[in-house]
Amino acid sequence: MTAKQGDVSTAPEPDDISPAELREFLEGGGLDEAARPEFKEALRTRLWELLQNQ
Amino acid sequence: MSRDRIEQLAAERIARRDAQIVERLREADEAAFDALYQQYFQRVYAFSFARLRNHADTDDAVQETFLSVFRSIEAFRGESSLLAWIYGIARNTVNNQLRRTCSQERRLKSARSFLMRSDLLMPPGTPEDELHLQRCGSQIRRRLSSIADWQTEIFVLRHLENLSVREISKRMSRSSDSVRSSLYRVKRLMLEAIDSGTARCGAPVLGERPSW
Repeated sequence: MTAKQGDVSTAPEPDDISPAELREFLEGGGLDEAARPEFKEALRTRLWELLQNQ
Repeated sequence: MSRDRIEQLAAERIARRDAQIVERLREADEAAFDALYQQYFQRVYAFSFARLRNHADTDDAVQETFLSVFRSIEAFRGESSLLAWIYGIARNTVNNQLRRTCSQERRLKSARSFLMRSDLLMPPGTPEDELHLQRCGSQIRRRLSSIADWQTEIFVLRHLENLSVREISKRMSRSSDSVRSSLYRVKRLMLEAIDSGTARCGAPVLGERPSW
């Protein structure tokens, strides 16, 4: 499922997130699993095009 | 200075910094875009992988998270920090992905039960025929081991449940092109597997090639 432009249905309520969750997120969830570099670069290209065309 | 006052100043500083980043993103500033992407990509990836435990689903979730972030950046009002906002989108996206995976697994289990129904199995033949069938079956299973579960499900939905490509695309949350290319890949692998199975077993025990 992909969100439509301007769709914030996947965004949380601000009070719905605990500091512990955020800390875990900042620390990478305890896993150092790396993405494929080509995936990271392809996604960067797609996102940059999206941002430029908005 | 009191602890509350220090926390308040820190929060104000973060809010100002977030507002500047968002303003620059709205102006399509590439440096700001890169800074945000580099700062959050690995965090979103590691967070998603920790829950989904495979790279294919993680790639989908990370892509969806960042698409939502950049498509919705105009709607960011600073009511939470940018960090909390991105985390929330990542968390909801991963939860949706997990729900989708569970539902697919349930449907796959039901499809497997259907395929194992005794009335769909071939009637018993001579012991030689059955040995032949077993050998061919294992050849075919080996060739088909590279097919992902979701590709199997697409095949089952199309050829056993007779759904259209559009219906499958909607149900599986995948594009029609992705469904068609998956069907093509599975069919090609199955035909190769059948050819290989019959060639190695030395007899056309499976009859004619299917007409998918």
